[in-house]
Amino acid sequence: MKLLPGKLMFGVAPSILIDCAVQIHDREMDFDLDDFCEALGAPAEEARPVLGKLVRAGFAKPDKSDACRFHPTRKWGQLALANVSHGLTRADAEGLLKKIVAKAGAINSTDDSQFRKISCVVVFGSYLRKASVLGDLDIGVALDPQSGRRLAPGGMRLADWFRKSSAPDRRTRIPRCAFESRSTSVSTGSTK
Amino acid sequence: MTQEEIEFEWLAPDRFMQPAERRRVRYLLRQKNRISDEERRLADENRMTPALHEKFRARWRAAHDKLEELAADMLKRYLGIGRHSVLRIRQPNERETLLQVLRGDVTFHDWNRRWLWCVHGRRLRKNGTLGFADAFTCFDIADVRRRRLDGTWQRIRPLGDTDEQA
Repeated sequence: MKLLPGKLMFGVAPSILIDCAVQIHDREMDFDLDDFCEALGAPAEEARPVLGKLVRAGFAKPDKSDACRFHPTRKWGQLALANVSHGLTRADAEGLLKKIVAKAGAINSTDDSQFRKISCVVVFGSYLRKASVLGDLDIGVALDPQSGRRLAPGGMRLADWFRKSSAPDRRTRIPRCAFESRSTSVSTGSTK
Repeated sequence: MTQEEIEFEWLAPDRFMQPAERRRVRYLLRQKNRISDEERRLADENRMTPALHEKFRARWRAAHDKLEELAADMLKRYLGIGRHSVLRIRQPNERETLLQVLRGDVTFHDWNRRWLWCVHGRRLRKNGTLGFADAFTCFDIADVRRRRLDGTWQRIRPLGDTDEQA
């Protein structure tokens, strides 16, 4: 879910609404109007209409036995994960994608055993649609399962072996994290 | 928050309190002090027992709850500050507090004869989200602004002074 900066949603600033959604979502339980007021940062008379609109829009549903309590729905979780941005233009997304592919190529071209090889990079989500402005750039990265099996367990303590055997994974993920920290518009996932 | 003109205003409780409210607040404050003094005296004389301590705590808590209830009601009626409001309080000593109000209280400082509003709650983080750290401040002369749901800040004006809803 993407919210535009400055554009109110249900009469609430996007950053305030997302903060409220995050607080309720983190509780992992149902909530009442008082909890909602506390999370939203508004007295009950202001918060009640907002909660009503959220319920009508399917972000929460009333409890069957107690109408004063509400259950956050999947949509509420999406709201908690939403970001406030104007999006990413297709040209910018293509530029970012080229950098990601180049980085993957650089990792694969090195013989350094501290990196796992990358067998596949996929792009999915809004990039595949023909939209001129994307919400973000969704990338999936598959790591080569063979390249990580070089570590021989012989003569090594179990704890060391566990730590070192996961090191190539971690190191291969570092460029991924670097991409994400530099650009809030890239979200990635990886499989082994 | 945009750069706006800071304007300090005298918002102390004694500007608004009715004589009956003032009497009630003074009575509750005295009652709290009396209970604390009595408890301390018994403790000094080594006559305090756990049961007595519990009894004193319950009495003190009852008086405190009544005072908080009255203060919350007055804050709402006179300044339009309800529970869960997010406030930015700037005081002449350059002290600035950003907090969400969870409890309100009224206090009287004997040493300078000043009535003050005390607000307790949780602090806002630097990015403007509501945090978990405790926050507390007392004010009488201050520039107080309340966060509206659209993200703008509205200056708190005493209700009744203007037609504007604080």
